[in-house]
Amino acid sequence: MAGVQAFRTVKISVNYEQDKKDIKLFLEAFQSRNTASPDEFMDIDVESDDPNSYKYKRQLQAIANREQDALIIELDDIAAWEDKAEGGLLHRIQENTRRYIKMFYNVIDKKENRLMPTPEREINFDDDVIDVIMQHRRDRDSRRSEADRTSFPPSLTRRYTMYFKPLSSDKPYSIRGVNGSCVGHLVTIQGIITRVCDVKPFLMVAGFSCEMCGEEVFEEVTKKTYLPRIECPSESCKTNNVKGKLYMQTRSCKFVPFQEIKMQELTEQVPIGHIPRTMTILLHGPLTRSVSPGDVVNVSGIFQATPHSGYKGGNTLLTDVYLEGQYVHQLKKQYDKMEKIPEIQEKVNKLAKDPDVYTKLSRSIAPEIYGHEDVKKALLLMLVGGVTKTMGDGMKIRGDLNICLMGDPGVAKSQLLKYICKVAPRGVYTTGRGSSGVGLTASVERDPVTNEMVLEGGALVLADNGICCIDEFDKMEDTDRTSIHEVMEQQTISISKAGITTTLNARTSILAAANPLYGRYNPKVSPSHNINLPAALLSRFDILFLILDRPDMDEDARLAHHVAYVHMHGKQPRTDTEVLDADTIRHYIAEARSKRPVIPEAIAGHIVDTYCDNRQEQKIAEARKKEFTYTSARTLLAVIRLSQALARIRLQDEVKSSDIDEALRLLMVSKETLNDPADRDSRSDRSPTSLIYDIIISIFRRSRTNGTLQYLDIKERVIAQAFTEDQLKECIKEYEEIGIWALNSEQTILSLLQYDQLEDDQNDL
Amino acid sequence: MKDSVVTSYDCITKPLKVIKQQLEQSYRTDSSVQNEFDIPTYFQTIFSTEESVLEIPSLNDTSVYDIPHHSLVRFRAMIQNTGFGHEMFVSFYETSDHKGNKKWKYNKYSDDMDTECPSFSETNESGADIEEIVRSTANMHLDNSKGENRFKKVASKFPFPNEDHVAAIVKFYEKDDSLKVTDVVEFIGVLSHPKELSDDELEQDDEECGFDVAFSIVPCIHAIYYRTLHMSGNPLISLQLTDPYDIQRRASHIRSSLLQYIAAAFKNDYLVAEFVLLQLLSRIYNRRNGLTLGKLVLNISNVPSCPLVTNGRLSSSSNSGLIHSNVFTKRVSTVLSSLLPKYHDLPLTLSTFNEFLFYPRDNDKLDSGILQVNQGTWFLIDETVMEEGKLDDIGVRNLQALNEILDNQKLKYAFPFNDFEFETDIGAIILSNARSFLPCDCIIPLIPNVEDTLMFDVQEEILAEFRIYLSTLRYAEYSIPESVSEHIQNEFVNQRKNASKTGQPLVTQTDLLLRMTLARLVTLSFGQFELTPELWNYTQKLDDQRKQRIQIHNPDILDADEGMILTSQVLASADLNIQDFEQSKI
Repeated sequence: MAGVQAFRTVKISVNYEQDKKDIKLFLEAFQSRNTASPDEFMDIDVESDDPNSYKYKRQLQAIANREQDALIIELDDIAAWEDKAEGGLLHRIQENTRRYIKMFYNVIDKKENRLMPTPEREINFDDDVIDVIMQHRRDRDSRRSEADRTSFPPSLTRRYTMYFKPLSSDKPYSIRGVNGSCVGHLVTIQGIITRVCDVKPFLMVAGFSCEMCGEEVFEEVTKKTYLPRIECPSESCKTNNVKGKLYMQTRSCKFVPFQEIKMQELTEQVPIGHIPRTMTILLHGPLTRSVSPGDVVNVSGIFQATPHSGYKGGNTLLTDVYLEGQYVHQLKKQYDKMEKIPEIQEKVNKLAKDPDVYTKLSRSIAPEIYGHEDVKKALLLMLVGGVTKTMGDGMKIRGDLNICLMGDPGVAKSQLLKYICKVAPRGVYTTGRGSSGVGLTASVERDPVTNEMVLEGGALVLADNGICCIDEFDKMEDTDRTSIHEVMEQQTISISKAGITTTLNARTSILAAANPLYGRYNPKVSPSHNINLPAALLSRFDILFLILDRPDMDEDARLAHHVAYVHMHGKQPRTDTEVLDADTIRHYIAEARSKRPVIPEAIAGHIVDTYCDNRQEQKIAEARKKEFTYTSARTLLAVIRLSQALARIRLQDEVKSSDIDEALRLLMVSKETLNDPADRDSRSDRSPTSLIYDIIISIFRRSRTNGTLQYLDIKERVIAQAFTEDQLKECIKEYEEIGIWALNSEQTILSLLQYDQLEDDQNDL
Repeated sequence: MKDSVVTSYDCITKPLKVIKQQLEQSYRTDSSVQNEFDIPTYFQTIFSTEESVLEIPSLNDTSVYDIPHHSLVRFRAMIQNTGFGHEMFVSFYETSDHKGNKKWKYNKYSDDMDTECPSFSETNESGADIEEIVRSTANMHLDNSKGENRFKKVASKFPFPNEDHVAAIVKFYEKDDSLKVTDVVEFIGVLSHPKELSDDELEQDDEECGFDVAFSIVPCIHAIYYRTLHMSGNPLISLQLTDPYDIQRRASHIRSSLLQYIAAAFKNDYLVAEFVLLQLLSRIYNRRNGLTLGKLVLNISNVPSCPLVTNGRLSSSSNSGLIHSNVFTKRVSTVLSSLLPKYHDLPLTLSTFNEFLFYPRDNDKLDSGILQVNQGTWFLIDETVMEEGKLDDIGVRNLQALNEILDNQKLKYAFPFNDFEFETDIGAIILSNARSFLPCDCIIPLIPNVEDTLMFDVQEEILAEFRIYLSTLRYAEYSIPESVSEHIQNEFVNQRKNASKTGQPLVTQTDLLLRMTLARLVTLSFGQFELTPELWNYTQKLDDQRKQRIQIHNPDILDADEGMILTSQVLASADLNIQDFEQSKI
């Protein structure tokens, strides 16, 4: 039994009297270091003895003046004042908060302490009816003997509520993280407010009067339930030996506002497979009405346990828990502004340093879909988007990219669309067949109840600042499709219907998927015949991919291997890069979108050059009647948007020429998919080595440096097109062996051995 | 009770006394112990054998009031809600009797205070040893013997109106986050009877204190420990009563008689029966990085509508709730329910969509939905009873939830302001007239061989064998040897090459994925655990037969993308007409 005693009983050696003295000292003497509080503009050179710098004295004065009804003691201040690491007053307040609140009240209420100043301005009795009553009572009491005086509970006349504000360094708990060891402590929890009850009056001091002697009796209520007094305890009743009955006087009672709120855990706080927990939080006094449902907040409070009451409990030792609110800190309310979760932020920062981030991110898009790497890259760029510019004259140049995927059934277009929808913060998925033009844009409807006209946003308006995925684009009615034209270039939707004329914003990227005209791509007819979309619409898409289901030995084998592997081992084959989860991608994109990269002068020239080249090539292609898409001014804009998006992915503020190369490459690839497959096969040597060779040769051509190039330049451009340095080295080595070029011994300069030949080639073109 | 040997009988009848004794003893002998006496381990050693566990009365087959208050019980159940917060309990308190002798009392695994002590002084605030309890409700259906009225309030917790159930609150004393929603476990703990409440108290649903009356009328179990059952919750596997090798040996034999049994419900269509058998063997066997392997949602189209005629009039579907009304479906339902550990009817009518809740929803308290079931539960979805009309808000949400299950095997629990997604493994067979508007992995039209068949009458022993066959093989390990994988890959490439030459439709990635899934099930159904080229060819043949049927009956289905369109359409608009679907199907 002795063991139990030793085990259970803890003697607390706390000198509360000393603490009270400390509290008094603190309230009197604490000076905030930063004398000027942000809301008061004062001279910088304030005297250290300026009364305003005594933070709590000032507050008490405001309370006395009836200008303030809450006294907030910041624990940060106590920490600064006390300057003690462990076991100090601060620590005791955190662990035994309820008691210290009472002590603070006691210290302030104690007349001898003279902490509560006299009001600086005349207190008018208009202010509060209780002042009148109190005056009456004081007058009456002064006529009575000392012993016979009514004892007023100090809380009756107290005109403020005291709260502790937790240390700013306190980490918020999740609801499930708060456990038995926290009882009585000041804890901060984070969550979403799901339910807010009405504010009700909470009886704090009950006032009774005796029917026999008229004596007033006050009783402080500290619990949720209380038993009203029935018998009058006054001297006169006792001496007369009558049992005076007490009646409650609502007028002399003190009520404080009281509100019960429910907080629920946030999604990321709940372990997988569990149901979120909720906690009841009680708010008193000025804290009521400080939150509304849907707010994500940090609430600090005293973690308390209360025995089960009513028919739930009775004779029980089990208790419910709740939090007595002390301080509410509102986190960002907007949902579109993403909360930065430290762990994910860390991942994002790590990713940003990875030179391979572009490939990694693009591979992580719809990882369950095999292949289509360039399509995925384009989709990634669409998620990131270019920079939207507003000109001085109000003209806007859109930064959002529009992509169209055209292809045979069964090539996972819908899955790609759905994935993008999931990742984009505001993604709307709709099908052409299911939505009319009105459904996509906006409609005016008459509310059946109020008979008012209501403007209803369709999918495009809902996806403002997001991505609208339209499946079965080809199945849409032509008239409906034209309504999208405006959205795709001007990014607004105009409505004039039923007397309402308005323009709504629809700053969305459009990702459309369409099937070829006859369901399946027919190689025997021309591409434009197959695609069956008006050129006006097609040109509005920055990139158009044709995904055909063609039997291709290598691709089929790889696909079959992929599928077989997945079924054999229950996971995707190990790729070079790990797959990032959607959340990380979303955060990375949010980070990337905060950048506004510009195109430097030097690089602008590069774009112009290539644009001119492309126009030239198109001329040749037209002569051969092989081309069906046109390089137009819109293509130029597409290149700019894509390269801006690439710069954003690198989290840089400037577009580099390598970005433009990659943008051009993507456009080329997308065009190639449209060309006749037979043509494509002839040049289908697509090993990385030969692809890198092509890149390097094109750099040689463009640069007029007499056949020498900096290795670093090459590396940068090659890596920008999603190759690894190893592949580059291999390529250089391979072609070095056959005498195409030579790398100097320091590995810094690559020089072409047959430069003249290259020049000749170019002239031939 | 002086002897230290505690019998399992003592533990069953007076568990609290045993616990108290052990606690007292442990403190007496060793005053320095910081950590408390390990009660769960102590009980686990006492009930280490299966026979001793079976001695504990079970809430599943005994009425609550037939088991004495504060005795040890077993309760096998599905966890429905882990969202309850912590509760505190006073684990030690001091009492003093008339003479002022102070005594320490121990309190754990009980709601009630020891009533024999006249006065008690609670330990002071800082000294109280407060531990946490995690509450969880659990829920399981079986015979209930209590009055209807009493359980009416709990209805929101149990979504199936036609089935009986028992619910209980389970309280944990140890910190344990491993139990997840929809897990099936067997709890062993101390029973507390529900409080006797008058009808007035039942009526008074105190909204203000946010307290759920439903919880005060269900029994409470203070869990000492729990045993996880097999994923499926099927007692046949968890108890290891069967010899897996025996099943493997006799697999082919059982397979053919099982096929016959199933085919009888499908008018002797053996191909459909074969696919149903494969479907019954399917489960999600892998889920990683957004990859869900093993799902096989089967749609049997061309199913006749033969409404049930009772007492000369058509029974209207609206009042039958969640029971099939199509005679054909009813038959299939009988066969399936005789084979599966957990099975539910799900007739798709406008009223089921609009009146029931498919997904769990939190409106201050968590209401369960039809689809909140444990892994390895089957639904037979009957679309033949669908009529034209309008879905309301709940209906659209229900449809969304059902789609999400069939598509990704994920169920969203709706909470105010945010949804929580849970992974599921629900088997589904859809019966429809034409192609179903729900997403599915595999469509097969029914071709009746005979007009009417008599139900195949099988003996209980054979049925039991079927059940063991299904549940054992469903969870069997399976592998593809490298050589077979190679074979499949080559074949795929060649098939595509040949098809493009002859101008036939190409085999797509989707086809390959489906065949890989089917191949696994075919292999298992023959009691084998490794894919062979022969089994692969058998699978191909099955799938080819299926495709031929589709070509004859509904050639439009072959377009693989079509399946998506209709469902996406449903979700595109919030208010919709079923009429549109019917038209688009014709």
